Amino acid sequence: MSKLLKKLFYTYYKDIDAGKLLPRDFKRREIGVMLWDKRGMVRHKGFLEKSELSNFIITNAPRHFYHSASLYKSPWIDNMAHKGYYGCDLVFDIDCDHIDTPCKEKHDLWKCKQCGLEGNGLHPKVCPECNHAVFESKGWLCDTCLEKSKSETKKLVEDFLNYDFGIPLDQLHIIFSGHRGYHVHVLNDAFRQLSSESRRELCDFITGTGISLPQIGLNVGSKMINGFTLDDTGWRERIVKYLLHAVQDIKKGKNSLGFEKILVTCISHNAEVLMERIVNKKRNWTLEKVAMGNWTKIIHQLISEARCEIDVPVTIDTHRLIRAPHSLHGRTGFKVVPLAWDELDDFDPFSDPIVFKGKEVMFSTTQRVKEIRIGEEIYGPFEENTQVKIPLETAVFLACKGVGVLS
Amino acid sequence: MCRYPFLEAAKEWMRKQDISPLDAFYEHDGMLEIIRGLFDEALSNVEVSTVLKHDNEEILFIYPWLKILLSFLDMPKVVYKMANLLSKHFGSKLDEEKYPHDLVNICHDQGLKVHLLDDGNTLQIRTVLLPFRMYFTDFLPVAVSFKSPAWKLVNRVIKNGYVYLKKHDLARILEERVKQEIIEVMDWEQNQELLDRIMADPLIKPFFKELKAKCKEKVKQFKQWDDNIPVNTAAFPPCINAILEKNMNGQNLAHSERLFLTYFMLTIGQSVDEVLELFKQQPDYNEKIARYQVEFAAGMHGKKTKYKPHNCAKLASLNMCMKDHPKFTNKECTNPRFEFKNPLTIYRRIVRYQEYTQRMEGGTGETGEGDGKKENAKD
Ligand SMILES: [Zn+2]
Ligand SMILES: [Zn+2]
Repeated sequence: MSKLLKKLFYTYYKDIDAGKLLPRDFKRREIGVMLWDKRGMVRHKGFLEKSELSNFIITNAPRHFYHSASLYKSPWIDNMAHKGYYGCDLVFDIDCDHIDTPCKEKHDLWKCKQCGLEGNGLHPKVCPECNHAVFESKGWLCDTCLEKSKSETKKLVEDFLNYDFGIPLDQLHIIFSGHRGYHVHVLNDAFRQLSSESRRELCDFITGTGISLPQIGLNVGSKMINGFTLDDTGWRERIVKYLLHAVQDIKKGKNSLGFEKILVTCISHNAEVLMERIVNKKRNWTLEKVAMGNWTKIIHQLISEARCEIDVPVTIDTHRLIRAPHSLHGRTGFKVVPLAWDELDDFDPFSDPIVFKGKEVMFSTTQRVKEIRIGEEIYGPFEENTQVKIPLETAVFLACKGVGVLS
Repeated sequence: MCRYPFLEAAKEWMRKQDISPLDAFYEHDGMLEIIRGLFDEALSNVEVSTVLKHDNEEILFIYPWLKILLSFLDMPKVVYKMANLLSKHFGSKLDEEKYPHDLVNICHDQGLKVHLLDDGNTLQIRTVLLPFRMYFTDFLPVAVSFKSPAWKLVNRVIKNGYVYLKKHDLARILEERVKQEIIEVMDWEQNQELLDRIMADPLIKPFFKELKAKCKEKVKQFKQWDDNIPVNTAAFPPCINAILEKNMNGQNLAHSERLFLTYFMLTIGQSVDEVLELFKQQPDYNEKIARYQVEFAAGMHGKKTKYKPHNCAKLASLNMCMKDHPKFTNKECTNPRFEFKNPLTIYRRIVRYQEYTQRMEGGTGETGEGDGKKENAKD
């Protein structure tokens, strides 16, 4: 099976403009690949010539192709301490794998490695049956998942990196990962010297970790509450904006932030007063018949809606490898697509990154296959061990996902 | 400049004077007295020195000497006490600086990229003026060095890439620098040649011996205060982490949780002020009451007993043991090879282990791979 896929990947890499596959400052980057016929990662590769790198990729037609976010004096040395670290690009990863979307209940499975208990959705912290915490997850993906990834990416780029941190949009490169999410690379060398600890602190800002209501000047606990105004900045302003949004939303009879009932009542009873105070930039948020405990709950919910769900370890670990733009993702056969900010909205992750388009082929499933949209059509669900006739791109996708074989 | 001996400019001036450390003693009589006074103040937890005169050149000669003496004395507790005294002392002087421009210059001297805004661009939050700003990448290391909620970027005023600061913030940042600079003497290599010269000097030898004896005596007194090693948050046991997280989220802590947190933090070497800083998270925080309670725990009132943190059995009985909690558990706590009776032991063990591995490996770990995944992950 993998032979066929490798052949397909080869045809892609053979024809692509070699320049596209080169990461920025490629001579200083560590290159890593995963091959079709070997387990584990081949890493600590480094190339000083363009042609050497492209030959390496073409001949191996790797299943996955990565480069380091860091720059090194000698990226090919296999001891991290001796590579000669110069600095590391600031990168962010958003992957719906880490985000709890409602559709996960429908299409994801987990299995306890200890006792074999199975369940739907994200795995629990500990197995309810045997208390162990090691799970095998079988993740699937759908439009809801990828929409969530996209909206989180937009939030990261627009609300945090651009608005709060003032990083110009043209310094932010967005890359579709080829599977479940997006990467954002900050193309500004000034960020390369940030330590891991500083990166963590930055991530804490983006994920809203460690917000202290008293520290930001919101003293709940007494009978009065002094809030923020739209003239405030950072998280203070963000909380007001989300509150305004919530009030408008609830006024329309919706509850898109998912407040519990009592909180919806609190907000809807005071909607007019709240709107007036926010619009007129008043700090007095004290409301009749709203207990301080409920106010605190409302604010915490606003924070959890406003936070951006980045995958923190990716940003703080300066020795990680990240997927190379324009490479192919071995679990989907999709292309890793760089996107300009204004292309993100219209980007369709189930259609635009398709590389291997073609006529219908026979495909044999080796397990149950949940439904999936590829291009304009929805395929599946398919039963285990059945033969189906599907277009090449769908067959490649399913084969890469490991749920069957091209025949 | 001569008010702040830790400035690069001051050190540069000293270099130009080209006075050997020993000669300084003879040229500035009174120096020994001041140094003696400073040690007395430091060892009795004074925070603003009365023996140090502001605006006096003497301090420029004293400051490098203090550091040399601390390094020769080789007593971490004394170093921390002195670091505390001098940092608080200069911090309060900095806080009293009249001209914002002077503060900015001091920051620049210390490599801190702080900008002073002209009146039109100053931010104001309620009644607080924020006339200074730092680009966020320059601020991040500062936030990290403080390890306190008040300094987290997430709780700061940030606009368009800049973190806005008030005067007191700058004083605090500089204060922390002084503290670190003094603590660093513990990493110095002993200058044997200078020590020999001191021990051969008829004036300084008895002075040094006397100082050493006094410090030893004092250190013995606060023996139960423990090693006073720098606080290593990465080594906290699960029970402490759970309380800290609750606190961080502004959740009300139970009385027993407050007590335990206080005893623990004091024992590992945090000051009363540092512990109070934590309790500022509490929704019902009352500076006066909290200060009294923490000072009481530190043995500063009443029967002057210093309390020890609860042991593991006691914590378990209070439902405060988090050994089996999936989020907070750690390997040390559950390691069947060691049975820990007190969270302090776990803390010390992890600290020692980390120091050991750091020395062995020299740092970097090799992790994971992209799509941003660990090597064995599924993506
Ligand atoms: Zn189980
Ligand atoms: Zn989904």
